[in-house]
Amino acid sequence: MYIRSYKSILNNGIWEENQGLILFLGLCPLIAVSNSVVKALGLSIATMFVLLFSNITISLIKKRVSGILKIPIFIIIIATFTTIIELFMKVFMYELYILLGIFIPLIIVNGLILNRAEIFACKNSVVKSAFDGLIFGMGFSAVLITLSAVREILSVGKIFINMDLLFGSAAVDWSITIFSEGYSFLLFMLPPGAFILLGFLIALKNLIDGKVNTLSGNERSSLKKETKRVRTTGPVA
Amino acid sequence: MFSGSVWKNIAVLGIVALISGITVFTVHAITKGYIIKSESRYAKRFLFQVAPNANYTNDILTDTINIPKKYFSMLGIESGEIHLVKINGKLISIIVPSIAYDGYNGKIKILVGINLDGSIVSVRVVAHKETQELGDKMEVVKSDWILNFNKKSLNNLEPKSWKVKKYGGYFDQFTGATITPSAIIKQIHETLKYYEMDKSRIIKELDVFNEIKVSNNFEGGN
Repeated sequence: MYIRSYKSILNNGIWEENQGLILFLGLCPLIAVSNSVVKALGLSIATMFVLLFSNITISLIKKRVSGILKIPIFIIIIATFTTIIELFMKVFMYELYILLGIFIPLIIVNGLILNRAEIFACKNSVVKSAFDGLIFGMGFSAVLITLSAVREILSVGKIFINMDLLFGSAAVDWSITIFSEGYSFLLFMLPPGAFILLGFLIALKNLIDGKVNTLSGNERSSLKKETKRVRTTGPVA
Repeated sequence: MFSGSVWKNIAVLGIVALISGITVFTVHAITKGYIIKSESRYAKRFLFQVAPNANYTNDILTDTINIPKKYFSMLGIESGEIHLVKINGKLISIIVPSIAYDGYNGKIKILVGINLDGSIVSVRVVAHKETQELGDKMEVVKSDWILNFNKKSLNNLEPKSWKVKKYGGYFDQFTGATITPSAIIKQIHETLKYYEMDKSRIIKELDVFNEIKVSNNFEGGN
C-alpha cells in the first residue's frame, strides 16, 4: 500500500520524488512557461490550486469510484477545477492569463495531477491528500520558479520583470537589473536553454544527494537506488 | 445486453459529469460580468495608446462603425470595426485594426490610429508570434521603433519610402531582422491607403447617424 506519514510526504514531494526533477512530469509547461518569473508564478498558482482541490475531491469520493471509471472521473474532476481557475484568472489577472495562453487549459493533462490522484488521493484520507497535493505542488512550483529565475537573469540580465501583472501596480518597479542594460542572450530565452538549465538543476540535485549519501553511509544509498526508478503510474516500491 | 454493472457505471459517470457541469456553470455565471470588464479593460489599453493625447468624451471601445467587406483583404482582417475618437460629439480621429501576414511567424495584429487628415496618430502591435528578443522590437515596451510612424502620412512620405532602410526606404530595420519590420511597414502603408479610399464614407456615415455636421476643417487637408 501507499500510505505515508506527513513527514515522508514532505520529504518526497519536495525532494526525493520531486515531480519536476525526478519523475519529469509536467515537463511541457515546465519548459514553455519558465522564461519569466511572473509566468512561472502564475502557472504555479494555477497548478497548485487544481492539484489541491482535485486531491481533496478525489479523496472524498474514493469509496464510490473504482475500476474502469477511475480515470475518466479523475479527468472530469481535474478539468472542472482547471476551468474554475481559468475563469478566476480571467477576472483577476487577465493579462497574465493571455500570456500563459494554452498552458492554463493544458493543466488538465498535466501528468503530475493525475499521478497524485491515482497513486495517493484515491487511497488516503482527505487531510493527508490535501497535504500531499500542497506539498507536491510546491515541489513542482519550486523547480518551475527556480528555472524561470535563472533563465530570466541569463536571457535578459534582469529578474522580476512585469511583476505588476500578478501583484498589481505596486509591483511596477520590482524589476532588478543584474547585468548591464541591453544585455541579451537568446539561447536561454528559447526552449533549448530551458532543457540545458533543467539538466544542470538535476545534476545539482544528484550532487547534493551524493554528498548526503557519503555522509550518512552506504545503507542509505543502496536503499535509494531502488526508489530512483522513473515510474509514472503505480506506487514506487 | 449490458449487464447491471455497466448501467451503474453509466449512472455514476453521468452524475459526476452533471455535478461538474453545474459547478462550472455556477462559477461562470458568477464571474461572467467581471470577465467582460477585464476583457474590455485589456482591449482599451491599446486603444488609448493609439488615440490622440486629448480629453475625448466618448467610449472609444464601444463607439464603432463597420468596415465594408470589400476592404477586408486590404486590411488582412476577417472581421473588425473602426473605433471612433470624439470630443463633444466631433470626430477627431479613428482607429483601424489591421493584420500583417508576411512576418516571420504568422499574423501580426496591429492597431493604427489615424487623424482625419490621413496622418498617423500612433501605431501599436497588439499580438504577434515573432521570435522573442530578435523580432519583437516593434513592441513599444522593447523599443521606440514603432513611434517612428507617428505623424507619417501618404503626403509626407512617398510610396518608395515605405520600406526599411536596407531596401532604400525611410524606416530602420532591427538588428538581425528585416522581415518583421518590412511586413509591418507594408501593412501600415496599406492601412493608410485604405483610409484614403474609405474616408468619404466614414465621414458621411457619421453625418447621417449622429446628425452632426463634420466641419470643413476636418475634410480639408486631403
